[in-house]
Amino acid sequence: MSHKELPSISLDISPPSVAGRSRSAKAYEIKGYLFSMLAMCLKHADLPAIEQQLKKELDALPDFLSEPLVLDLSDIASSDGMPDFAALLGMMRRLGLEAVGVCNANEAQQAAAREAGLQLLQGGAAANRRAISDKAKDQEKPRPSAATPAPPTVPAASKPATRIIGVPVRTGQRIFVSDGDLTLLAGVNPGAEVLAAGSIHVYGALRGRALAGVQGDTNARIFTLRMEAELVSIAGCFRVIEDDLSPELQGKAAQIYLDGERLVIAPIK
Amino acid sequence: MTKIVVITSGKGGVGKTTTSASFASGLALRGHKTAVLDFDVGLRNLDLIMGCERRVVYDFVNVINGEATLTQALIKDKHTENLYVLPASQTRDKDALTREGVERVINELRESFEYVICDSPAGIEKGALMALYFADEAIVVTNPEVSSVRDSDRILGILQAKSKRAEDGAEPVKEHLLLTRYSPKRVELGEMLSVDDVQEILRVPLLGVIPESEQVLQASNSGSPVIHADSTDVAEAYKDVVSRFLGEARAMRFTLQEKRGIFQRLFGT
Repeated sequence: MSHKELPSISLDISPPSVAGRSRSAKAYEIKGYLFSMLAMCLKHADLPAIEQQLKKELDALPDFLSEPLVLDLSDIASSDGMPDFAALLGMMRRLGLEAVGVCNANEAQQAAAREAGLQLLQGGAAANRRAISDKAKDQEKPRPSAATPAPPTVPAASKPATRIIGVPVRTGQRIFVSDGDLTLLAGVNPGAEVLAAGSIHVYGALRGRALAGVQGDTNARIFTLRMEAELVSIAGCFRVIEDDLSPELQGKAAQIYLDGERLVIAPIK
Repeated sequence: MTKIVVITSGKGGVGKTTTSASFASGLALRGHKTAVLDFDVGLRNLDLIMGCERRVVYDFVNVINGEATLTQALIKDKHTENLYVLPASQTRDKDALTREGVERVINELRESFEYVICDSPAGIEKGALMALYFADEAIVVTNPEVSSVRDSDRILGILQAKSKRAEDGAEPVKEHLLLTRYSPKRVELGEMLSVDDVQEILRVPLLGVIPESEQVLQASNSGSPVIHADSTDVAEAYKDVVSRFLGEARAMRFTLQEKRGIFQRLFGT
């Protein structure tokens, strides 16, 4: 996910003088937009295994991956695994999924991806994650193609701003905070989605989906006074909550955090 | 200042048209000049419920297209003074309603009416969006069951984002909740959501509770809005709704199951 904001560029287009057409009417404007996207972080290039896991997860939750996806190749960039992009895209399309680009790919992978019609996207969660957790073992040779500069570690001094929403987040709405924490004072209704780069604090019922640490912050947490969420995620590690949780959790105050690779839902006593 | 009120819900079949007919009639009975408009192009029902289907000469789309004046199309209600009906078109499709056209009609209605009630179709597509676009206030009709509550939550989110007031940054559309087809007995049995259950999710001021009643079917069969069925529960409930809307305090009735006394049980009232 790119978290660089593009500057807003204004293009001045003067159309040829046509009777009745206003000179000042623009045909388009270039603007910087920020989109949050789901990334599929490939662990290897074994297509049948990927297909099997996809089928299993889609069976459980058919609408989950209904948005366009980015393929994050950071886990296979160093081992030089080369997915058959054309076959992969075809397989995903058959399952109703659409990949629109790749990120964190090495040069060879980038070339192959472009040939298959995929876009090359800058930055993304893995880039951040590596900077935070792998500073010690930085033996990997710098990937020549990665145009992303090493993401700056958040200086301890400046605290990112927190966003506060005082009204209920309603079904079908989505709140995205690209830096800092998100605080919700009136709850998240079923079918609503809240995402934050930092932590998410719900002073009310969490009944929809909450995704914290979306830029890769594995220390982000989700807090809620009433745990009834449909889905929770920290730094990309997600869990769908299909059946009721244990009685000490369901409908009670809870916090969700990452313990290594494991997503933990714990009561707040 | 004319008030534009949209009767909407998201979910179909919850009682929007029934409410539009009785709410508009109720306002007219209190001496306010009221127009009620059917936005359901192609599936028009309002004229049937109002009992004027055989008097439709021109409709909403005719007026927008300039094929008829508003005066020619408005049908004077035969049950109530001060009440006029603008029926929808039966034969045109939804694209015939344009924003500019609707704006012109509403502005013309503002010149002589105190209240303009917009009966919205179900869903969140063009017809529903058009009906809510110019609203000053909204009555969100909800049945006390999960899918209706979910859809009402969705439409509330849309009102916050897609109304003209939202786009202009003006004071937001004033929201009211109307619970319809309420059965205290089923609530007690746990089959239906209670008023509190619905309020907990929707968080919108309650305008009223309309009890489930056979009167509604009889009313629509006879083409007379149910508010005219004197001394029935439903009529009384709608009268309370109108009073509360006009700022008068009314205790909430018909929300508790009546305990049948010994005589009622013996003689079966």
